[in-house]
Amino acid sequence: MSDFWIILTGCLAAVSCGLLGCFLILRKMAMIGDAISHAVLPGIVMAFLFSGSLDSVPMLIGAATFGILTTYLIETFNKKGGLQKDASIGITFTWLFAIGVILISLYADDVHIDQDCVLFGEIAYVALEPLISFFPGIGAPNTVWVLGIVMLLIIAMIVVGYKGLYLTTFDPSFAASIGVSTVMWHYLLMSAVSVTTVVSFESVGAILVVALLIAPAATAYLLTDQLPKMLVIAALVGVISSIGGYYLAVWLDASVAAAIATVLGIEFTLVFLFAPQNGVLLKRFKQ
Amino acid sequence: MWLMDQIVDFFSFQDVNIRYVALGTVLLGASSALVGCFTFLRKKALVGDTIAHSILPGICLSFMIFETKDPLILLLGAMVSGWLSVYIVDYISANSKIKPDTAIGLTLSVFFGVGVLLLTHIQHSGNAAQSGLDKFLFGKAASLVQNDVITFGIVSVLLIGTIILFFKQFSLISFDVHFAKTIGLPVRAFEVILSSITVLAVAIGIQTVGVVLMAAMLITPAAAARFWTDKLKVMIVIAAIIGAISGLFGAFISFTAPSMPTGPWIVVVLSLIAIGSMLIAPKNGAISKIRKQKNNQRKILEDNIIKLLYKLGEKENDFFINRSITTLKSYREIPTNNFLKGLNILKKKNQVALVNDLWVLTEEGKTAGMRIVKIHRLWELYLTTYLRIAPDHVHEDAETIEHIITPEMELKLEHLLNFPEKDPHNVNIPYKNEKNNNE
Amino acid sequence: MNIQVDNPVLEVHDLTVSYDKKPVLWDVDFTIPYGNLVGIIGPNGAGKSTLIKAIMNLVPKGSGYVKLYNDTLDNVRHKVSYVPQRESVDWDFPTSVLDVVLMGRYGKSSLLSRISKKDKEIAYESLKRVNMLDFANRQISQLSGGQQQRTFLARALAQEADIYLMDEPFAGVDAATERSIVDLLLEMRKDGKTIIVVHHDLQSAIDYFDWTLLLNTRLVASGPTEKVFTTELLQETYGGKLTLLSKIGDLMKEKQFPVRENK
Repeated sequence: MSDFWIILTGCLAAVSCGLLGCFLILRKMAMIGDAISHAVLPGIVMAFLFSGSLDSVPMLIGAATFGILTTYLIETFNKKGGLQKDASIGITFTWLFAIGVILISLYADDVHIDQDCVLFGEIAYVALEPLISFFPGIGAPNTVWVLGIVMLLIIAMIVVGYKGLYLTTFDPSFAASIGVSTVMWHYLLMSAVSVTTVVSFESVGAILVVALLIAPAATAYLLTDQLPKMLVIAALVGVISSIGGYYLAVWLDASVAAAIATVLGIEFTLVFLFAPQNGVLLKRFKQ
Repeated sequence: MWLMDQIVDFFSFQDVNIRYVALGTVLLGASSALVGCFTFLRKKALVGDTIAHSILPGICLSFMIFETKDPLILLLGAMVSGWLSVYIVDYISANSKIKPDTAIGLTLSVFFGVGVLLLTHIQHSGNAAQSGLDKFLFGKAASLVQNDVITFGIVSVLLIGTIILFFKQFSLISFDVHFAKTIGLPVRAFEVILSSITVLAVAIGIQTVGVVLMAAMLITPAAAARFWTDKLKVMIVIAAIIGAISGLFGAFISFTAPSMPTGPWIVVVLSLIAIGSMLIAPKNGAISKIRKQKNNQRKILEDNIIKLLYKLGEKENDFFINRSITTLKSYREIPTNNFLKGLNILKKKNQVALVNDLWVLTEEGKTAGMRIVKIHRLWELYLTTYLRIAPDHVHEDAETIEHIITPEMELKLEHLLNFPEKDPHNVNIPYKNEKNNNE
Repeated sequence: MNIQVDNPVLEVHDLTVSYDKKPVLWDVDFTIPYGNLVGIIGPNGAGKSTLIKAIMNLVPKGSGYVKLYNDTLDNVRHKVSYVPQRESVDWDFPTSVLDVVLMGRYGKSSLLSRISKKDKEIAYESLKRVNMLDFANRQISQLSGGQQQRTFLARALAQEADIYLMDEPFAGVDAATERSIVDLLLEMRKDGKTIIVVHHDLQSAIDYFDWTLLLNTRLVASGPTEKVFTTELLQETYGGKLTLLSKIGDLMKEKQFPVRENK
């Protein structure tokens, strides 16, 4: 039974991330997604400190706040500070992540930081994981519920807001010309990314979230020319990797999250090489 | 005071360990910053992030294949997978519709995932030799020993040497790749060298700050330095200094509070320096922009007041009438305190005088006022003549530009317009002497 | 030569626009009459695109104002159609020609509402007018330059606007497509629409446009094409930047000087 829960939470996270990731990569904001997934750390820690609990809601609020802050800082450093875009992203997320790590070491003394944490270099998350990690059977319903609800909200947001997301992603100038606020849609998307990354941390860890945001979307991008199909394929790719990754981890006796990321990589590589229209090797053969 | 003691203890460098830690972090900070300058200029700032995440699988594979923890072998593995990731990012963006930012995010997360897969596999396989593998990778700065510092030292020298040796070429390919190609520079080769030293810097640097924060060691000093200078040579020196200082500070923290993670503190210091630079740097900083704007507002205020006095003089045919501030306000709407502020500045410049609570223009003031009025009218004529703007539309523009035209530009205007007597509204243009002579 | 019109569909007054604090448009002032095909002509970097963007409120104004139908843009958006440059969009985007054209209908109802049958009908009609009906379900990555341009045009038509602002609609387009687009624009003009086009080619400009704006950072001329296309005016337009003006612009940037005193 525990297999099932682990795979299920992986799938739920994969779907949410995969859907949002499509818009991220189409907006050329993949690295902002990466940045947000790291920069929410101080938000999570502060939420933990203020609320004194590991409840999802305060953490989501903390995450969303820092997600918006990250988006705002990147924009401000770039537009008002005159800093180039890639550096704005790099400085913002490393700074916030560093603050998060410091906060943890200052205040979360009872958190057991062992070698594993140091190894991944992403000390914070792995440190938190023993506290908020998923124990099948004990915490199962809680995490699954949260992931499930978030996933449904994301799907609802995409279905209801499809025109706005499509319009502002494809042609921001035209959108502005008909009076649509591109800024609002941008922040909406980034808030959704913040919330999704945090919720996914709980189950699949930091290593994997970035991979889930980008890889399924990138794979789907190469497989189809239609946005609705791309969304569906991204979600499917994510689900397949969750299942495949789990069994790979079992076989190799290794980290599940890492295995899922590996399977994502394999899927992408296969598609990159052999996709019907875009596959590189196929194109060579055609010549 | 405790803090003072700590500072003294630390900087006396009496403790051998402190020496190693400080030296190590300084070398690290400086050499990462140097290399980072070039990736920053090539707008590939996130390459550092990519490489940092990508060296892990290489290290693990090295370990698995050669069954040794020899740092050189592991480093070799790191270099290979780091280099491979850079190549793959370029390959993906060049050979498919996938955009560069997506290629970067994809590569770094997958490589890292594979790396963790291998690492956890190794750890769980109970291979006795693997203990301490992590130590090589992510040992804390506080536990640097002599050998580590020697390694850092050698690598730093190597990096600095390479940069000095190929400085011209690196500069060229950072600024203008196309031009470099056209003059026959083997661009590809130099890009490879640059990538290689970046990978090297990252592989070494991760030991202090960890995977996520490594990108900062490369980007942040370069970004900070950029705000202070437009010259590349100066920029890399400033960046290196910033990197070194931050490294030193990090070592200090780790000395005073051993349980604190060093890496994040280094990054926080770096970031604060960068943000501070963004704000205060003389040319490009935000605060200097605000200062300039304040200066502009002041000049505008002064100019407008002296101009008012002059024009009143033109109208009344007497330039030296005493007027109260209330009277003046009736001619031009300016808030009283601003008006007074402006008048006082003009008084200090001897352009107006205060006589029994009444303000009056001085000779110098008359000259200054005349100049502004002249420029205003000349500029209006320029607008109507060269920009073909209708005469009733030029006043507002001239109201602003009159404040900024320099004496040089004034001369130019006179010549361009051939010392005109009248402005577009048929009003006289005043020259310094009665006749149409310029100064 | 700046011929003013009594009842203009578009009035631009004293417009200055800066990029990074350096003015790229100085005190541009003109009026455009209803129902004309208007060309904005000038060398590269003259600020032609910027002018259109400023009219559409896509870039901030340092000074001046714009009036459409004697009203602000926000009040008359439903009458205005903007066609951006082709390269402002990523043509690898996974979407079809029809979907892009349907975007033209988005302004007619709430963004949260579904696409209606009427929307689809209008979209198909627009595609027919540009001869792209057969391409409705084609993916945009498979289109040629001319087809891409016609897709944008169809989207504009679907907006059912009265005034159209187009940024370089003929750039990178083959001669046949260009001719067919011009014919379409002339048809639209006959229907009483006003069309303003940023154009890069002098030769064809004389043939196409009723009214021309000559622009080079400042307005050199505005009026009926045959009146405006004089050697003197063209030389002024293409004769390089005004040095003094440029110097003052640089100085403004260096000192962070405002475009207008009171801003």
